[in-house]
Amino acid sequence: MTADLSPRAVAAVGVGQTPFGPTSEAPTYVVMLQQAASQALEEANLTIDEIDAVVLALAPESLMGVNHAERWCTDYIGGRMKPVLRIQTGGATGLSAVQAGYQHVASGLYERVLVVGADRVRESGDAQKIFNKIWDPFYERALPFTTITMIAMSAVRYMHNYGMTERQMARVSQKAHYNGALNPNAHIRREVTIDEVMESRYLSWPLKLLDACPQSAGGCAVVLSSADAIKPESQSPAWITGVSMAGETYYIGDRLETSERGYDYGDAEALAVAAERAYAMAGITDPRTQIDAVETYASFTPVEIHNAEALGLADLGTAAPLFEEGFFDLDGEIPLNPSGGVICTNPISVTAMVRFVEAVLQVQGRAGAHQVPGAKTVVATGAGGSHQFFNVAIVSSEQPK
Amino acid sequence: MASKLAGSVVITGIAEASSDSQDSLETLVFRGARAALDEAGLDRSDLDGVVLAASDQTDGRAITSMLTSGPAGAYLNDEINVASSPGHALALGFMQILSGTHQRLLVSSWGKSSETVGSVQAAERLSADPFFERDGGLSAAAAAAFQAQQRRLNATDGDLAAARVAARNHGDVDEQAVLASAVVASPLRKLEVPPEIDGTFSILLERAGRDTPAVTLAGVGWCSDSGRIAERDLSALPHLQRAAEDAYQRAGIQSPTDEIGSWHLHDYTPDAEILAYGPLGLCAAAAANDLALSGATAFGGLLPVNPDGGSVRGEAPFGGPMAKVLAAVRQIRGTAANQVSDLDRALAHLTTGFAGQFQTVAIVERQQ
Repeated sequence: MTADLSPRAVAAVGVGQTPFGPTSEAPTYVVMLQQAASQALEEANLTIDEIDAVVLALAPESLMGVNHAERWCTDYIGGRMKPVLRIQTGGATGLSAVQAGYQHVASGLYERVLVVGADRVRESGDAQKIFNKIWDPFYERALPFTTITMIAMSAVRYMHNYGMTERQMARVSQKAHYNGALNPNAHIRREVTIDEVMESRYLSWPLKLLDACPQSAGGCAVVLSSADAIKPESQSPAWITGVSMAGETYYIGDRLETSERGYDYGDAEALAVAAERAYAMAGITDPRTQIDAVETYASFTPVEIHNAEALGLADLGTAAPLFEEGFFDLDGEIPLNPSGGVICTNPISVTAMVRFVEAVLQVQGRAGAHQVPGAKTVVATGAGGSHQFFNVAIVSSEQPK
Repeated sequence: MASKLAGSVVITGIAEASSDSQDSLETLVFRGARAALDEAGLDRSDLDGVVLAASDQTDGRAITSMLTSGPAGAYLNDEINVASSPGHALALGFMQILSGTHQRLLVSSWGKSSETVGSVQAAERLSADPFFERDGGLSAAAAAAFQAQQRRLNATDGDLAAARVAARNHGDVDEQAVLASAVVASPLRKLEVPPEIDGTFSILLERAGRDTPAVTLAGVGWCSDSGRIAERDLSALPHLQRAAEDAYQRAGIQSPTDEIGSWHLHDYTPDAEILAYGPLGLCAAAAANDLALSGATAFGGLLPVNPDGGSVRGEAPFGGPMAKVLAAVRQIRGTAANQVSDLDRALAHLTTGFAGQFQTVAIVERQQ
């Protein structure tokens, strides 16, 4: 027996973000969850009692110091006597949680779902010491791999393959900081010049301090609803028209050969795979003309460059000059990270959810000073693990047919 | 939703790779995934998704799903990790098929206690509320003991009922041996709690329609209680009742005891199993102790519970409760060691968290 299993339409009808900043200045973890959730519920014109199920976005709990913290925080996210589950895909967690929430509603099992998360990066010490523990204990931890050195190696590979320069990377940082200064929720809110980026200290060549994301604290939440369950006076619905995720190999050494698609470790092949699937679901056949803006998870400047290519916005190896030309600026052809992106804000558990929330704000026309005029279709992406897990969501102002 | 759900999601492969193997975690996960695919006559390229249930601190590494997603079949494929419970991973897989975003996916959970840094209990202690409960030494074992104590205080012959259930779930020991075993966390005795083993569990879920032997995953329900253990009545499980109601409604079950032929309940203690009888509808909650003493839940009884033995024989930490789903599937297939006759539906019950904070109920049935 086969039933009609075409997905029900699912919309974001409320979003919440706390102002992001350093952990030393942030409220407790559960308070940030509550602040973000309350804001999203208020926007959706709902109370927590009208929520059917809750999805918690919590990346490695070792960052905030409570094992399986979903147990501790169930009460603080309205989860008592409700279906609750927790998603953890590293940095991709926030968008994976949105995708899980999407499937709660699209399946027909639930009408309204709260997706919520928070992080206090540095609560348990420097994040890079924890991230060293994601790698194989025998072959890779001792290198030492961190998320910084991992991307440095990728950037070197990309430079070798396509001739990217450090100055081109700096241009990405300059754009990100310009946009971030316009975003009231961003952690880093100051403009920088290309020269300042070039003069900042090296973390791991070719990555410099101003090529890198901060370690942030904050909360983020989304209320997802079926079309029939949208309350009057909620925010206008932002429809999810495509979702997808794809994983790379665990061992980075296994990515050094050129793949059948022509990608190697300097690129982001799994993101390209995820994007193709999400585009197909959303009916996007030409991303360069059908996408109005992109919020992509790029914790370092060279990642934003190869992400643009993986998302089909530029041919492989050609994006860096486009950044220099302003193609991806806020007033460019396809604005990339109008919020300032991860370079300005990185509360890891919800970093990818913030990408989604910013996409929602864009299609609702509520992004304020960093609004892309007329944005109707915006892409959000996440990335987690050893640049291993990639996900993509397409957000549209138009309800899918 | 029963009309839309009916028969939509099927299980075409299961595999369990356990226990005394010297294989690495990734090899165990690979073996489980490969075996489930083989059983279904499929290859990795036939999958359009993998749903994992991974616990970082149990495995002793951050983002442990990084290591296992590839062996489970997720290379350049859709992957998600549901880190709260293996039951929740099954639930998300169920929703992914129903939502139409996936046609065929693998759900994988595991626990490899031999690789846990320190001990599983030490890792569990770090999941208590950091401000009020952690300093008190709350652990999974302590929470289970609190719950057992509370149940036994409320029941005549509560100790004996627990011993009888534990003996039945062992299969090869009697209740006197249970009662004579050492107390490990009062009132729980050594033969009443599962020893930790290594194991991985794989379930292949598909959208119905392929011409292959299958068991229907007819309904899944899940629900959470408070994380504040002091605020819970540990002898009542209202969230399990809600999870069961959701699962029954989705599976179209009206009368659970008439329609379910085999009950695979999570006996992380015998008390936890007995406390589940009422919320699941095997009997009134007040009659649960008597039901445990009556023998009706034995293999061959009217309400067979854990006919092939329980978790008390050994359970992999975190991912281990998925074994209940596999046991239920085997009953429906007719391949169980202690096969219940005339069986159309079986129930699997999975818990996670202190004293069963997270409860999941799954219904599997013979394909129509």
